[in-house]
Amino acid sequence: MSKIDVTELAKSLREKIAQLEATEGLEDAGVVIRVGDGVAWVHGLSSAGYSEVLEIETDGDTVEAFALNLMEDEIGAVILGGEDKVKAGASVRRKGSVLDVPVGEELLGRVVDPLGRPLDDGPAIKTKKRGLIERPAIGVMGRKSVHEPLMTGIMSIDAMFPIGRGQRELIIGDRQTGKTAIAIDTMINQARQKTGVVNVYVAIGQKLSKIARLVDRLKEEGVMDQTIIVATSPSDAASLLYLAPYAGTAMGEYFRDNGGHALMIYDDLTKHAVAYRQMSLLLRRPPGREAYPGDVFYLHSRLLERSAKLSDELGAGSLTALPIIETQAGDISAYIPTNVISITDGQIFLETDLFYQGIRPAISAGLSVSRVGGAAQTKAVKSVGGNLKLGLSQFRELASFAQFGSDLDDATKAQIDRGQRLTELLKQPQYQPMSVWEQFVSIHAVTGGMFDDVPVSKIKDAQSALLTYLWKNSKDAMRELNKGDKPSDEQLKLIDEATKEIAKGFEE
Amino acid sequence: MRLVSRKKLAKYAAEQILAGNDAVLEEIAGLLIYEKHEREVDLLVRDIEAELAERGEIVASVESARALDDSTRRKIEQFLASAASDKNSKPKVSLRESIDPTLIGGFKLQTPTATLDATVSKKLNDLRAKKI
Repeated sequence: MSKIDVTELAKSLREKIAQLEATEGLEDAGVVIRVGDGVAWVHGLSSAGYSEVLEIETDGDTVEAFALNLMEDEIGAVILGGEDKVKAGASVRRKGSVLDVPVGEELLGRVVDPLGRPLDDGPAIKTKKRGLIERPAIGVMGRKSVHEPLMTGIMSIDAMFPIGRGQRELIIGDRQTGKTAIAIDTMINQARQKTGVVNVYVAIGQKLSKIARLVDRLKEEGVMDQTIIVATSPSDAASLLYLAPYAGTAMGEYFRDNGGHALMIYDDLTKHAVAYRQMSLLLRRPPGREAYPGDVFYLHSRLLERSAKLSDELGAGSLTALPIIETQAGDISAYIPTNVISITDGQIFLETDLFYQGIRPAISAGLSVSRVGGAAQTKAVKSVGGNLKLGLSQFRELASFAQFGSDLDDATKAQIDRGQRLTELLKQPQYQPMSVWEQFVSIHAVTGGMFDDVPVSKIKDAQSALLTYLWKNSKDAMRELNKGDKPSDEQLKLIDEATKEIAKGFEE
Repeated sequence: MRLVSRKKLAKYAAEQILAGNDAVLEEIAGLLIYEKHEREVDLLVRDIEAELAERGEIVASVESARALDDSTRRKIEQFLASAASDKNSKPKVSLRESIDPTLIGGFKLQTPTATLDATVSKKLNDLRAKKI
């Protein structure tokens, strides 16, 4: 609460009186004719615009709604919480604006709802600027091709499906396959590597206990200072779930437009589509496939199109998006998954089978792809990533033969052995993102054949021993390598020698 | 099933009322019964009043804590005439007055499409909602 200046008491009081005496003149007014399921049908207000905010009078208070169905005789408005207070016959006024949220650095470290109201114990949020929740995406001339890496710290992603700043990369998979874990690791990596990328995590209909655990973890990892969390729970109104990703994007766009870099995580868009379906059906819009409305593609395309790498003239900022989609029984050909796959610049597909085989992150090398990230990959990781992809795809082709046993020639056996080692190497525990040099050294050790004599079960131990050894003995060289440039011959020699030395200790 | 939208019906009714066709109310009543939309009478009346207002026949209701004196009444009528959408012709203003002591003071003016709430009770509500 603001403190009253006692010396200016008379002046303040007079101002208040003047404000109270001011009458605004005639305002457009309508009346609620029926209300239910979060939707108010309003008679009158024929001049209201699409998506305009309406104020519904309740007993001694007002409730906000936004107009989504503009029809000849009535308006269908979706109520933003507090629908139990709205009664038929209540008078409705236009607010004269569309929805906006507070934006700015003041939001960093905060947990807010889709209207920018704090959900944590912190003070009220006061920002200098506000951003429109619905905003058109930047045009063609304002963009630049994706060329800077956004390191996730997850070896299999950074090496095989690299993500660039400004890219939209879908994370897709069944429930409990580690989708959110990938997003969280990526957020943690931004803090560990001090990339300066701001994280905006949008929880759409997520359990509040899960959000609370996430906030604790991010605080523990020291990531919360550069993170904004927009949270909605399953008990919130569908309108809030619908607004959450747009509101989060408005907050991320502030950093993009001011020359900064932001990472959006939408967890998850399946629930978003379901919330929109609920709203649309209640607004009596015709249902289409799987009862989703006809504009469900536009719902996500207009959201994800706002992620972009800006041109130098506009400050070269970027907004990267990691939308998450939950599939049912691995079916990526359902309606919403195919929509979002076609909108995004690639997808990381997580498989339940791999997850339960202990291959975590359970990334399917065959179904995952990154369409634009190659140009943004760090040169160091790119130099070993090609071999990794080749080794794994050869392994996948030959793996089925391996079941038949001994009639394999030596070359095939070697490829299968290499594949098994690579698969083992790519296993990575949660909350342990790896830096560029760690990724390079690890992959190089296996694809270069130096770990060929290390048993598969000891690959992770050998990797960890190698990384510890190199960091202990050649810190400066590793720091240099971490800048991302292709390693020099000297660096390669140093790494090869160390790798061979370590490998000897693990041979059987 | 609705044969014609409420807006179109209101437009037709307003035109007929201004033309002096008294039978229009009977026609509309018949249509509402036929369409089973009797409950929409109030909404339709608002729509007809809105159409009439556009044609220079403004009907407004005034709620106040005490009875209005002549000078206030005249000022309200002048205000409504000046706020009319058609500036070329002089609109005819009729007021429906009612008294509601719970408003504490001031008045609340309602035309078919707009409202002006200058009551003390509304200001107190706004203060309570920290709008001012």
